[in-house]
Amino acid sequence: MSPVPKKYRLHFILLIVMFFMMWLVNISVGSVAIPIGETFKFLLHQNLENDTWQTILEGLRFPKSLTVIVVGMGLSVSGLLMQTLFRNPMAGPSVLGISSGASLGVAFFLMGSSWWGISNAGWGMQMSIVLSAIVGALGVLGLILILSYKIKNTLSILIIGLMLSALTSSVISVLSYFTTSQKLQQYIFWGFGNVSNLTYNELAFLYTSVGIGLFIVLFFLKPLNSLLLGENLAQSMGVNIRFTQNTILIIVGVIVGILTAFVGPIAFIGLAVPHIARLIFKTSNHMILFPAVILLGSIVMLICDTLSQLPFSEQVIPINAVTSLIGAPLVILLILKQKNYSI
Amino acid sequence: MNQPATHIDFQTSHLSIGYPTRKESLEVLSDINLSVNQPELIAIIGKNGVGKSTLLRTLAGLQPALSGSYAINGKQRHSYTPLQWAQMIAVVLTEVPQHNDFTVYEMVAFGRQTYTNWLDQHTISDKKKIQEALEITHIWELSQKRFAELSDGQRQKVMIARALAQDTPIIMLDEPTVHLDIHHSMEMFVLFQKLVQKHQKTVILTTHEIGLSVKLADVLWVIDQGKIFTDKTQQIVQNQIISQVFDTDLIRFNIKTMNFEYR
Repeated sequence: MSPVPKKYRLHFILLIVMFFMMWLVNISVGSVAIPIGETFKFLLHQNLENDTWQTILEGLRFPKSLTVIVVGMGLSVSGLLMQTLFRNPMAGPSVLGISSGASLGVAFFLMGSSWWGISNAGWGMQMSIVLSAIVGALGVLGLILILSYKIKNTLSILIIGLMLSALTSSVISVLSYFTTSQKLQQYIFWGFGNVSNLTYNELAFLYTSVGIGLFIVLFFLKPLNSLLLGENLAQSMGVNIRFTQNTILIIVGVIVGILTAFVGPIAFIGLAVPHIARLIFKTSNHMILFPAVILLGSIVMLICDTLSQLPFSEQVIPINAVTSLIGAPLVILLILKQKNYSI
Repeated sequence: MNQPATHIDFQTSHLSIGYPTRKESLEVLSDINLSVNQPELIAIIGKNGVGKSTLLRTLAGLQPALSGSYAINGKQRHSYTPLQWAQMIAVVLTEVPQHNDFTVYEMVAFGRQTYTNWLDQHTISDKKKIQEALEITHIWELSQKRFAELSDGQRQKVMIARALAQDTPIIMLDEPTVHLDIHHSMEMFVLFQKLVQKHQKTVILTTHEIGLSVKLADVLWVIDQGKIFTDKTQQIVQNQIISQVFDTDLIRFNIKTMNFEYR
């Protein structure tokens, strides 16, 4: 299992080429179509003749594409890590209710903020949303992990995840009943999932935090492979199980929490992308899957975002709708072929 | 390269094993005094539920002992780091890994994880050890096949090859013949004998194959009613311990044929 054997080299080159192509397309498409040649120029830091295009690219589409990429990478890797940790092909941030947990955290903070009297502005506010999302995500993640020690059945864990999602949404409903309409509106807009409107400062924060998380995961790829053989065998090979599980869990909680705080809950990407990677690479080796999932996650999210712009029209549909359209059928497919899935 | 120490000194004294529960611990066996100091094929036998697997799992370090002392080469179990321990004992368990896309080669290569760097890169000696393990277990020609596509017997061999690649002086196997027919069970036992005699390993296994154990194991650890009888296989048989433990209204152990027969 040397890193990136020759037979996968072509796969990776193609994925990298595809990544840049999708990025270009993503930036070019929108209510104002910009020729691909011009976006290419922009990416090469050349000034465009058309000032409007320059403004649209610099102020809107480029930061949005950066958001989409980091969300795709972060959520997809989180999905991969969760599937390995739970040894469950159906695991993913949205399916197991981790995103709902983050939402609940944010709901408590936004709608309850009148009770704890926090002012509604600025960077401190944004950071508090982030913190509450992380706390919510880690809470649900911990709960699911404890339950998964007791329940080995894949589908049962899935059902518990769905129930937790239902539970959090009903708690959120109760909260929204008692809150002011202004706060409710604030929360609902957040919940739609929005990848635009992020400032370059916020993006720097997203990339740093997700980057640190992914960097730490690098050192856990080997134990993650062993975990696929079962905890007992992994332990017998010298893997520190608890340490590995706890570290990975915290990384997933923080990544999902932070991403959810900034762009709202985004469904199914974390679940679907690792499976697409396994289909293409036909391996369970994390040394291969990890970089593959990072690339594929960005590509899939870029495609979803491009589709949500409804090319050649001025309408925009929520990106969540697009990811669900792709993800939900995949879950059904997975359940149908339960017997011979691999993780 | 880590040469396995062929001489091992394996001692337990007053070891008590079982499962700690919230109020009081559930003791399965107590006052276990075992000692191994040369390569041997050791079979742990006993009726269902007497604690064979619990004993094996405890000795393998997969679950803590309730009390007592367990030392290998003069060092207590709890003084070993996980990696040091992994270089002492390799295991083969009843739960066979499922739902993965690993090839047989990759599966066996897992045995080298104990020695490889963080990127799991293989040195020449790692590759040599993997090849040796594949050859000893006669699965070299399967090495590029997908593990998921193999039969039970083949999978068991792969898991044994993985343990061999871990290059430890001791290998412990929990019911290695449980899913196998008599032909493959026999083949397994012959393989274990070869590991002991030719490769100087100490092999400790739990099994329900009393007949094969009596014929092929060097030492028997017989568990019955909370006690362990440990001795050379011949002594155990001559002292009629097999008959005492396993004879029922329906079957009895025949010392001459070394087999069970209907009464």
